[in-house]
Amino acid sequence: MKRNVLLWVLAAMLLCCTSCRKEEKDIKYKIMKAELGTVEYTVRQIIRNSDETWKFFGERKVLFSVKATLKAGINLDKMEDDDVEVKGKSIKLTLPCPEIVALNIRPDDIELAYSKVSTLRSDYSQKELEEILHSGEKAIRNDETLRATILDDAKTNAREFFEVLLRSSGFENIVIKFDD
Amino acid sequence: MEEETNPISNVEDLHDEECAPVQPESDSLSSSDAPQGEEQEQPAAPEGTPSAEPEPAEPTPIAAEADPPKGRRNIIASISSLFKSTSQLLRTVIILAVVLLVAFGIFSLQHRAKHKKVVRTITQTVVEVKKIKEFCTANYQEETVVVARRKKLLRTEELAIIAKGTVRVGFDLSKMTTRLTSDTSIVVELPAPIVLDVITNPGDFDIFEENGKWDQKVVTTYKNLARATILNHAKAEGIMEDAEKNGVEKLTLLFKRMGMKSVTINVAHPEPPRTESGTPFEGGMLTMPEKQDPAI
Repeated sequence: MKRNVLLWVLAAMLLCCTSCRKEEKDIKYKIMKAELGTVEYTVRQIIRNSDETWKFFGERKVLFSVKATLKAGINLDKMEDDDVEVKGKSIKLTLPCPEIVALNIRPDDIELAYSKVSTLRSDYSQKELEEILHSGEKAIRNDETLRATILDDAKTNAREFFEVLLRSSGFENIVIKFDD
Repeated sequence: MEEETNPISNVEDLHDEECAPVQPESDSLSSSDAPQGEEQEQPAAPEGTPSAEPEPAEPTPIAAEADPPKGRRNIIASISSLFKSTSQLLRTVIILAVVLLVAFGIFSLQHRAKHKKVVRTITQTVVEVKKIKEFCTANYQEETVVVARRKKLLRTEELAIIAKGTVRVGFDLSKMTTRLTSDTSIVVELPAPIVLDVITNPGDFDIFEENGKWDQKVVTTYKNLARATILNHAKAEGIMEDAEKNGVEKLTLLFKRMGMKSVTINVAHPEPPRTESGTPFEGGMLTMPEKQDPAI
């Protein structure tokens, strides 16, 4: 029994060591993909932060104007052989559901529009500003209305793209549906 | 009111009290059942009354302690007076300590609560919708560190940023052309792969070290430097070639699934534009000087 416990402890220690070593390494990797982006939305976002924690000592306010680009499309890696049915000049294509493939907020597209810090308050540090901007990024990602709109457009554009492609490939009867 | 009186007179008072024949502890202990009024009345009894006087012939050991010699009495008196002034001093010190503690508590709480109770309001508007035909075939991800240093009068200010970036590479399929050579064979002409995006969102940046106040524009410059570094590394690691190879594979698979037996994909390789010196120009790269001007 004691021996088993000792072995488990040793194994756990070894695991810890390996994970530590992994953290020290440079993280560089490539991922092969097949994403067909069909729509791009540019969103202008205003991020306001008003720190009211210590209003007694004065105010801290900051306002950012951010431009974000969202791309949505189809992940073709999710397609399988069964998703394509060909009969002569007829084809039935089942595409995977569209998804957001990229959200890009370039540093140049972040504009510090307004900032006010009272004398008794400490200025916003870069870390705090990054956190505020990060909350704005999260808000874009989690905006369900925007997401629904962009995915709907992505679906329409993907259907259009494949219709043109399949027609130029010689098909006459084309049925495209999505794997909902 | 007692505190305002002269300590010397206090000492005298104390002497008088101590000289009184009342046994300080033993009597009070022995006469615990008796009413307090009686205890106080005892020293007030007339001096001539023999019964009221203690018997000096055979003093009990306790009584001897209660009636110390004059020098010792002085010491005790001075110590007690010292205690009185010390207690005042102690009280002041305690009050000061409490005030300091409260002030420290407020400031430490303020520092800790900086990130907590904040009000964030976010509004957004869609400014542009664009139809695209991008085929992303390879992603490159990397974490890099950018360190900015500048010298002030007596210290060096530092800003260390850890940046995680993703480079998306693929084809612009709006430039793709297809040509059927027979019912089951197709020739696809693809443009050269391009960098679709270099993604470094705010959540991808981690301010590891920050000494001094850094302007937002300066920080943006260093973030762009990190982006350029990641893009350079991606190209050096052969992401363009990988994207091309994978793109050809994936498109071939797609056309084969559509029933094509022969798929020929040609990828265009335009010669990079040359500068006056004859060296190829790396478009879209941000070049930063090796040594940053501390003024920026």
